[in-house]
Amino acid sequence: MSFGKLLLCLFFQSAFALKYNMTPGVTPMSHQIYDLHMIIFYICVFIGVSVFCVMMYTLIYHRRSVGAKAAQFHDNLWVEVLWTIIPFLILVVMAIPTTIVMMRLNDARDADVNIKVIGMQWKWRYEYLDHNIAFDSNLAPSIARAMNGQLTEAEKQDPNVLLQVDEPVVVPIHKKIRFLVTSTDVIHAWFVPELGINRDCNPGFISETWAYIEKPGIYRGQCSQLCGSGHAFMPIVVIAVTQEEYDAWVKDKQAGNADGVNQTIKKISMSPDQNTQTKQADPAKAQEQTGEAPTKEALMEQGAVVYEKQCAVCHQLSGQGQGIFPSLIGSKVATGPVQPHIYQLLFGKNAMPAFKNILSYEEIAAVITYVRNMWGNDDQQKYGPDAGGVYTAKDVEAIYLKSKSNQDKGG
Amino acid sequence: MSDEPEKGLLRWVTTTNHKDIGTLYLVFSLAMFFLSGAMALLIRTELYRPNLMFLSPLFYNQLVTSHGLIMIFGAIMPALAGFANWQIPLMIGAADMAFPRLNNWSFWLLPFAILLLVSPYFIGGPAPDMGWTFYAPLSTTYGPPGTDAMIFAIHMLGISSILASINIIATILNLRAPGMTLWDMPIFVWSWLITAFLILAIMPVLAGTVTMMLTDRHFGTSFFNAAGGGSPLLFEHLFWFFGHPEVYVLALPVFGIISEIIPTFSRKPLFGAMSMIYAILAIAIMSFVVWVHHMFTTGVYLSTQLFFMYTTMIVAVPTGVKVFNWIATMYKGAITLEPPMMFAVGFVFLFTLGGLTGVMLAIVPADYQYHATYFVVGHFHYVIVSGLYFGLVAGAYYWVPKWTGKMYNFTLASWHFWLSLISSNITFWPMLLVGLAGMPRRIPDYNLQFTDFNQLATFGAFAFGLSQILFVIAMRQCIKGHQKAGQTIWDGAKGLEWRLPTPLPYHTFSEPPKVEGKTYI
Repeated sequence: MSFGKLLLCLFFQSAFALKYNMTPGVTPMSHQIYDLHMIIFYICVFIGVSVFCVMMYTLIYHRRSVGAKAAQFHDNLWVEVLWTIIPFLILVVMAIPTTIVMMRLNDARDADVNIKVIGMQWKWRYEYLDHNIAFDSNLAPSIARAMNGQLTEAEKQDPNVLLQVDEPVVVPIHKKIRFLVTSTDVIHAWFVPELGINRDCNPGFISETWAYIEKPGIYRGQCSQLCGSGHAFMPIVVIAVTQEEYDAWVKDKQAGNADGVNQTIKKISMSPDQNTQTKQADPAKAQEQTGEAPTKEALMEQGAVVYEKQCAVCHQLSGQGQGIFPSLIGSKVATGPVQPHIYQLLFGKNAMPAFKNILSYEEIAAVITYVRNMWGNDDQQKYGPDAGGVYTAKDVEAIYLKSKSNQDKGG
Repeated sequence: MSDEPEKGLLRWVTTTNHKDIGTLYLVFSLAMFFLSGAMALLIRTELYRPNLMFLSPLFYNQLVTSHGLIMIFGAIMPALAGFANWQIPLMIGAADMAFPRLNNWSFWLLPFAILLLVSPYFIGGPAPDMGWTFYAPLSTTYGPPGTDAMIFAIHMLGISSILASINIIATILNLRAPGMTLWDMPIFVWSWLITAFLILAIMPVLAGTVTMMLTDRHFGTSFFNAAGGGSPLLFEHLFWFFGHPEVYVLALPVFGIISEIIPTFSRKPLFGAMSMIYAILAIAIMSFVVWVHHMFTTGVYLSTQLFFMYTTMIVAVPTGVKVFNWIATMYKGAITLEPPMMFAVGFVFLFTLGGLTGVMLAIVPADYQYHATYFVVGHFHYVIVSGLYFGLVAGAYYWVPKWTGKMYNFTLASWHFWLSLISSNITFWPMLLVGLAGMPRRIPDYNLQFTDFNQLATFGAFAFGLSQILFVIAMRQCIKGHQKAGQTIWDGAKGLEWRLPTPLPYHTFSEPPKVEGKTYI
């Protein structure tokens, strides 16, 4: 868009009024928020215009160049009392409806659906407390590539490129949905404008908020509290569906029926999030089922997928790390004995999250194998006999059980 | 005490003269303004279009952090201290500040503190990347090594501000010319007296907070770590208990400057001088009980939200009184629009816009939608850039010719005004709108629908940044130019400083002047 055209837009904002105003949203609360916003906006416009009119009048007619002589008054008790009291009264008038809306907004009792929202660097985890469903929700084009400016041209053309996820939150309409928000690492904020929700996720604390969605649709938002490098890349997609569709989705989700889930999402979404259907290839699992140990190639292939999704955000696709996130190339953990390596993936360390509840043993084994054989990490002459190696889910499970029993012994 | 300054560079290191130290503060703040402004332009360049272009998200976050910290602690606060150093002794008829050596030290802590703050850029390891509010645990458990440099830089900046404030309070309370009561003092001096007490109250809180961060980072404490019984919310409370009054630390002295300039060019006494002083006092006191309005979305209790919403709304009343008083001062005056007055009027205009968006932000339910979006960014840039920065520039155009005896070119300064006025609006108005549309702040990359107004803001930012070069040229004319300023620089100006010869001698008021009644009527 040319500069001139942009300037025109600035002065003829009517066309933009809808696009660049707060959304009225799709819940009773978001409508009330919007109404309050418009009322206070018009009050401010009224005050601003009155003040500026007096100012402009003064600047035009009380100038020395038009022959104005300066008066010498410098006090007027009544005027001063008036312009203290009138703004105060306007504020009181404003405070009353606001207080009423606030009391409604903060009443999350008697919810029909309870969803725990967990922010983590840099994705969302959703736990449906009533249905025993839990899943992660990542930026649909790979976050690692988005953070490195490596999105493809096709992806860049997508109008929702940064606002789509691999697994959306699905909720029923016409039900009171309670969101319990928290975080596992730093402060995030769950911000979905159309639901009128913007709530900080504080690590170690849970706060509650709620929505009652009036019409089916896709509602997008993103993290609004600076949470590190990936802050711009943790979007939120809420899909509101009818109760029947929701029930079907819950059933499919509980049964692990990915196709059914995608059917539901597809039905509701006009432009489906493309990546929802591309579940990661799981060759290792396929081989497990046939009873053979997975081959190194299969592990490497699966490991690459897991690595890009879970690890590359911090350690980079190149393995070089960034900032406080260490390089994996030739690192002691990735080339030394495997036990501490697996332990660290399972239980985390400092900024490194614990993956024991996020990845399966197979996935951990695959990504361990991947990291230990990439970037020359398997060079045994350089790093010693422990470098490289192929590891399976059994190795991971053994270490998990061992550490658990140690913990139990330790009390 | 010799009558002439020493020759050479050592003069600036060893000086205890309030005018020299004032100059150091002002020059330093201008340099920091351009450094930090350059960071802002890098940020705006990255935001020119969607998709990451040339900054990594990590570096972007570092720039966001440094831009905020340096603008506040390196540019605006030192500029205010510079005006305080020059003007307070002149306006109250004192020979110098009460503690001249301390004064020297409070300045010289600054460059080293800022050097420490930016050192991580040069010695490797990411610089602080958690925003100028450096919320825990992003700054504690997850903070890069450079965070420690920031912590100690903030300690040094805090010491500098506290010492300067003690000096200002001691000067104002003890060194006024015989016959000048507190109520006779000019409003600028009043505003600084109150600001200095604010600084004394809040800087130790910030110092304590960053010390807690330090022990959380290195000595195993858990002040801000829920896993150890602490709370990240505690950090936010402590930070904003400092942070909100800090906003008024920046604003009140500028209110003072504007209250000096508008009467001069309206040729009329300041309307409601007493209510101006009471309004400053009221704002200062209220500023301690509004801090949670930065935290409405954290999930604090409903009752807490209500209390802080009401207090926040009440702050609008004294602030409104000040704006009304300024306009009443102009009303039925004989106004001329020299550059200082242009910037002062621009200040009243744009600061009011910033203030009105502030009233909108106080409405808690609406704040849920505004919070942490570009609406907030637009709001505080209206207040700080097109408000406070305009006020500071107005002060410079007003007083510097008196100090140096040289006048700048009015046409140049007028161009500076109009370009700044237009470009700052092109920069910050679109920010308000994309914020309403839901664009979160502090993101290096945004979704496509926000593109057009971000481009507009980037154009505006570059135009604004480049326009400020005109200010440097005008200030250079005041120092090295040929156009002499006369004895009477502004015919409407009242106050002790204007009775002195132009340019000001190196030492003034060695003999205290006689003052009877108010200096500013």
